[in-house]
Amino acid sequence: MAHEYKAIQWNGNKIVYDLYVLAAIVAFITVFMVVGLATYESGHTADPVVLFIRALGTCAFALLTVVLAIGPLARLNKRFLTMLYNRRHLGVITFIISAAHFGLALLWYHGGGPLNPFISLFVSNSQYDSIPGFPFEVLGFAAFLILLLMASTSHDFWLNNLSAPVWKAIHMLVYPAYALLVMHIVLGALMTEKSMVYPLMTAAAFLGVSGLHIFTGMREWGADNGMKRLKAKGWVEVCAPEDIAENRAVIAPMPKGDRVAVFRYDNKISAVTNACRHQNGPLGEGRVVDGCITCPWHGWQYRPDDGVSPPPFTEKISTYNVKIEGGVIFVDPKPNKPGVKTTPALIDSNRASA
Amino acid sequence: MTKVEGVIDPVANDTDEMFIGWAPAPAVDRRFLLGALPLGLAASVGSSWLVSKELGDPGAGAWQTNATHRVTGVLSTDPYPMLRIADPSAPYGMRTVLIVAQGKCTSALQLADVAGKVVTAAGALIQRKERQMLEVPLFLDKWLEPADDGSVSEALLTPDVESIGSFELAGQVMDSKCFFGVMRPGRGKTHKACASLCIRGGIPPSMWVRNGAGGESVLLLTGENGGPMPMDILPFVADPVSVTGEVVRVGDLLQLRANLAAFQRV
Amino acid sequence: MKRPHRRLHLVMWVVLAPMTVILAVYFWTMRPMTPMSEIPSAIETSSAEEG
Repeated sequence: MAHEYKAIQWNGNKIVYDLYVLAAIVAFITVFMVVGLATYESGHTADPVVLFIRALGTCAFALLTVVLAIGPLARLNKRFLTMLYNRRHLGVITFIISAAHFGLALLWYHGGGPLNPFISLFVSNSQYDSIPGFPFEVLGFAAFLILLLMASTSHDFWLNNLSAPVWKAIHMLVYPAYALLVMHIVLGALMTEKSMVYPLMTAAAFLGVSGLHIFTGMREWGADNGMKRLKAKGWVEVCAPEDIAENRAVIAPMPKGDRVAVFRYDNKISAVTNACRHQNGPLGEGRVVDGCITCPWHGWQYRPDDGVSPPPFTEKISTYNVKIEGGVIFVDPKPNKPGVKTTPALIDSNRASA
Repeated sequence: MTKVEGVIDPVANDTDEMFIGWAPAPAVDRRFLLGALPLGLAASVGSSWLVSKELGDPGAGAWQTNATHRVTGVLSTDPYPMLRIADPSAPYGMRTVLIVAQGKCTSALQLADVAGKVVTAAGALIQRKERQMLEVPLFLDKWLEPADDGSVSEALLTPDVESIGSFELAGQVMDSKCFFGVMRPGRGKTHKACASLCIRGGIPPSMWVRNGAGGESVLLLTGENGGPMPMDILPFVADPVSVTGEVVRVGDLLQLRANLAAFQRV
Repeated sequence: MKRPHRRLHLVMWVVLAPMTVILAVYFWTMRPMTPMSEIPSAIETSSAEEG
C-alpha cells in the first residue's frame, strides 16, 4: 500500500495508463502522416515537416481537450476516476507534444532567416491591429508558456511548497490557455483551410469542455446553496449513526460553509475535513480502506481519528470533534488543527448508556 | 432516520467498489475500461484521419532534395539572383532559373563578382509547374564554377524587355522559394510569417493571381523601376491584396513592376 | 475546510466560455476570401490551377 509523494512513483496502473496514452498518440500521428502524405488527386504532395507540425498541434489540442474533460466527467460518473488518477502524466505528455509543435514550427517557419527566431515569432507578422491578419503564433506561444509553467510545477514537491491554493490557482490558468489555443486555431489554420470540418471540430471540443465544466460547476453550486445555512452556534446535528454505511461517510455542511466528512467504521464515528490535503479531493466520497480514510481521486490515505497519513507518510488534515447523543451524531464546527487526535464516538457503548 | 437537511450521502448513488489508483482496479472499472479504451483509440485514429484528409491541397510545388541539379547559363542579379539558360526549344529561346540560398538568407549570397558571367551552378531543384529555382549553399565555392565555354550570349546577358501593359490584379504576395515547393503548402495565413521572413532575407517575392476558373499567373514582383521590391512590402505578404502595375516580360520571365503605394488589402 | 476554488472555477468558465465562443465566431466570420482577378490572356501563365 502506498501513495505517491516526494518521489515519482510508478505502479501497474500508471504504467498501463501511460503506455495506452503513448499508443494513442503514436496512432494519431501515424494516421495523420500517412493520410496527409498520400498523394492528392492533383498529384501534389505535402511537405512532411509542415504536416508533422500540424499533426503535433492537432494532437496537443485533442489531448488538452481530453485532460480538461476528465475532471467534470469524473464528477458525473465514478468510472472516470480511473482516468483522473493519472491525469497529471497526461498533462505532462500534452505539454511535451505542444513543446514539439512549438519547437518545430519555430525552427521551420522562423529559423534560418535574417532574424533571431524568437524575435521573428513576434515581428515577422506585424499585423497586431488586424483580425484576419493577426499573428496567431503569439497566442499559441502564450498558451505554451502556461503549459510550461504547469508542467514544471506539476510535481507534488511544488504542490507542497507553493501551498495548495497557490498551486491550484496556477493550474487554473489552463482554462485561459485552452481559450488561447482556440483563438490560435481560429486565427491560424481556420483563416485559410476551407473545410467545414475544422470549425465544427474546434467548436465541438470547446463547447463540450466548457459545457461539462459549467454543468458540473452549477451542480456543485446548487449543492452548496441547498445546504442548510446554519447560523446556530455550538455543535451541529448530522444524522443517526445507522444512516451512514459501514466504512463510508456522509458530508455535512458547517455554519461557515465548510464541509465535513463524517465516517463510520469499526462501530466508531470520526469526522475530518472533506478536502483532501493533496488536491482537495472529496474525502467524504471515499471509503475507509485498511483502516484509513482513502481519497477517491488519487488514493491518499489518512487515519480517521487524527487525520494523519499512515507511515512513512506525514500528511495531515483537519479533524473535527464528534459525539453521539440520543442516537444522533453531533459535530463541533470548530476544526482542530491538522493532525490533532480526536476521540471517536463509539456507537454501541453510546447506545448502551442511552 | 434523523438525517439533517443539507447532509449529503454519497452512498445513495455510489455503491460500487471504489477505484484506488495504487490498488488493482475493481471489476466494474475493468469492464468500463475494456469498453472505453478501445473507443478512445478509435476516436484518436478517427479524428486524426478526418483532420488530415480534409487539409487543403498542398500546392503544385516540388523540392528535389535528394538529387543535385546542374545548370549552365548566364548569372544575373538584376533584380534578383537568377541564371538564364539558352534553350532553343523553349519560348523566347531561354529558361530562367531563380537562385536562392539554403535557409532564408539569399541576400547573403556574394554574387557581384560573377554577375554577367557564364557559370555552372549545382543545387537542389525547386519547381512549381514551369517555374524553376535552384537552392544553393551560401558559399560560392560549394556550388558555382566558371563554365568552360566562356562566350556570353548577348540574348542571355541583356534579354529582350517587352512591356505587356498595365493591369489591376488581385492576389497574394508569396515568397517564391516556399511557394515554388519548399513548403507545401507554402501559402495562406499559417505561412504568412515565414513568407515575410523569407522576403526580408532576400528571397524574391512573387505575385500569385488566380481567376477562379482555373487560370493563374505567377509574376516576379519588382519595384516600379524593375529593381528589387522594397522591404516595405512585408506587411502585405500573404494577405489578399490588389495592385495596379506594369507587367513586363524579361526574356522568358514575367515581372510585375509596382509602386508600394499601389498595394491595397482587399 | 471547503474546497477553496470551487466557485472561482465556475465563475471563470461562465465568463471564459461565452467570451471565447463569441470572439471565435466573430473572428471566423472575418476570415479572408481568396482574392480572384481577371487575368488577361497575355499574362496567364497556367490554366491548371491548384486547389
